[in-house]
Amino acid sequence: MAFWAALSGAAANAAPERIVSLSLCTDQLLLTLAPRERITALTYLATRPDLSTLWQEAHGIPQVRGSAEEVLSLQPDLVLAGTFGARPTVRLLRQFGIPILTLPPAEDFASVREQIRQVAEAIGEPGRGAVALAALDQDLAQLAITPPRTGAFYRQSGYTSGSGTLADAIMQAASMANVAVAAGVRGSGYLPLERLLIERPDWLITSDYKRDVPTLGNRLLSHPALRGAAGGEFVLPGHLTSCGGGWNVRATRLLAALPPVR
Amino acid sequence: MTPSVGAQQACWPPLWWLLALTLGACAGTSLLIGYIDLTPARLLHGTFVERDPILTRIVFEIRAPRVLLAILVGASLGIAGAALQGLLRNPLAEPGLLGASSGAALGAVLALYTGFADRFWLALPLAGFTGTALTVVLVYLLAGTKTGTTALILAGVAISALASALISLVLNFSPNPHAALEIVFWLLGSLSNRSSHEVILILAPVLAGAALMLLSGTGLRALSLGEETAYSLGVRVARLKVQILIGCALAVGASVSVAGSIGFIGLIAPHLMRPLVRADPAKLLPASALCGAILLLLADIGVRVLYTQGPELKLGVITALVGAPFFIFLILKTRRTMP
Repeated sequence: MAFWAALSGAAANAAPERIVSLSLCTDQLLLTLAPRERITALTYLATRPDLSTLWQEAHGIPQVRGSAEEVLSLQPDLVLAGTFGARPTVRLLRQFGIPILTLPPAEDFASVREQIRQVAEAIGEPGRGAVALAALDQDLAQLAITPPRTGAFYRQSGYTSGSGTLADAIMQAASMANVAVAAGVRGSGYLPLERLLIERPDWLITSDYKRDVPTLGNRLLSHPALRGAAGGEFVLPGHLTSCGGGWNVRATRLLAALPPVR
Repeated sequence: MTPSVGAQQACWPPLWWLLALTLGACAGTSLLIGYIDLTPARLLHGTFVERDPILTRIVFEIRAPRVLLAILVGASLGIAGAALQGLLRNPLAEPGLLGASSGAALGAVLALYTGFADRFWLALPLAGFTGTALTVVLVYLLAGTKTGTTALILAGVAISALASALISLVLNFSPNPHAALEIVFWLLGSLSNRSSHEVILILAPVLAGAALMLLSGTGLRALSLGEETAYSLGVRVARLKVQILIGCALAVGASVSVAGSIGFIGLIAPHLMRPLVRADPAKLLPASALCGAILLLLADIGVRVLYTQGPELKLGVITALVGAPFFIFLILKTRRTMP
């Protein structure tokens, strides 16, 4: 808690100049909100087109793999991290007195807004934050009204997004009822194939993430019972829903454009 | 008909009837258990009378392949256990303990994650076969037949550990978002979300392997009297060994390549059956196959009954929970009989 006081004090005086991000989601928030020259390092995943919406913007910025040693050697004055990633590193950095802001995974548009506001404040750029928030609100308000449909995210190994997930919030914003919620899945969880068949959603929303890689999880996606399990399949780029940010509206627009089936 | 044959015929059928009926009952129960809240009566009515398209798909495309796979894989492990115990004349021989299962899993992992498995039909079971054959030959060379239980188990443990480590290594290097999850699958086994594709894939290798092992019954019977006696009875021991090795590699290799390595079935099934067939190797083989199938069906019912949320429990967890105490019991028994 002591560092928080230090952090807010520092933010009031001088904005952090050497910011390091340790999660893919904070990479993208940082690229949205911070002036480029103040970003000291992003994660090693930041330039991956399949993982990050802002992969092009991340080119040219140094990358870290997340060990405490390499972060310390960069002498950051602010570190952004996810609540669930790089925990040992974060604990060590705290011991060294480095200001850290950790963000939990965004659960809905309200928490996306809150995270944009938090990061903008921590890096001393409330103005840029306000602009990003206004853009997000405007995009959400401009979403076309679409007829109600049903759907389910279905990823490798039968993983889905249930209640309290960003993916579910995106579906709600696109007036698509999430059958994984009806099947009782809370958070990110496993949807048995049988339940999927019984619920029979209009749309099965799959991800493009590592779809061509030979794995057991991908083999499940060619299970004969999956054919016709839903009205149609839509491949949604995974990076549009994995982290909270303005790009979530793009995912919403894509889902809202899907017609009712049957 | 001599009286003794008559007595035998009156004596044996009940066992086969019992095994067949139990297998049928377990298969039926397995077909009725799943992830949707429907009573068995509603499910049967909906599937076979109303012909509801969704329920029909659930029963025939999801549950039936799962039941068939449990039978094929369980029977493979059971019969391979009986054949290996007979061949090595060692009550602790078992595909899992001998490293055959982890060898098969390593072969399958290498084939799957390099894309070789999609290269041609039967590539996946072939890889499992190669893995099993290599590990069994290695363990056999390491331990030999005359060195006794300790050397055999040690060789099996060493090769098994090596294969498991290599599985984790391969998966760690593969571009796989669920690597940890899939490592657990290969080490503990599961029949979750298998389809008719897998059944068709392993049917021929499993049947061929089981046939080779079944045909070795009379040879094993002679071998139980010792290698020299078997020779004097006209059994070609070297050929018998190769026949069992290939049979085991075919059946276990194919099974593991679609279901992961499931431990203890091959150990428990022959032990449960041995007193019932009066330790006759020729009868022990088919009885262990049936018993193995029943045990795996029960374990697979168990993982679904214990399901709450998240991915389902792996089969190896259940078989080890039952099998490990059984193993301990065997050790205690061995200690009592040995000075």
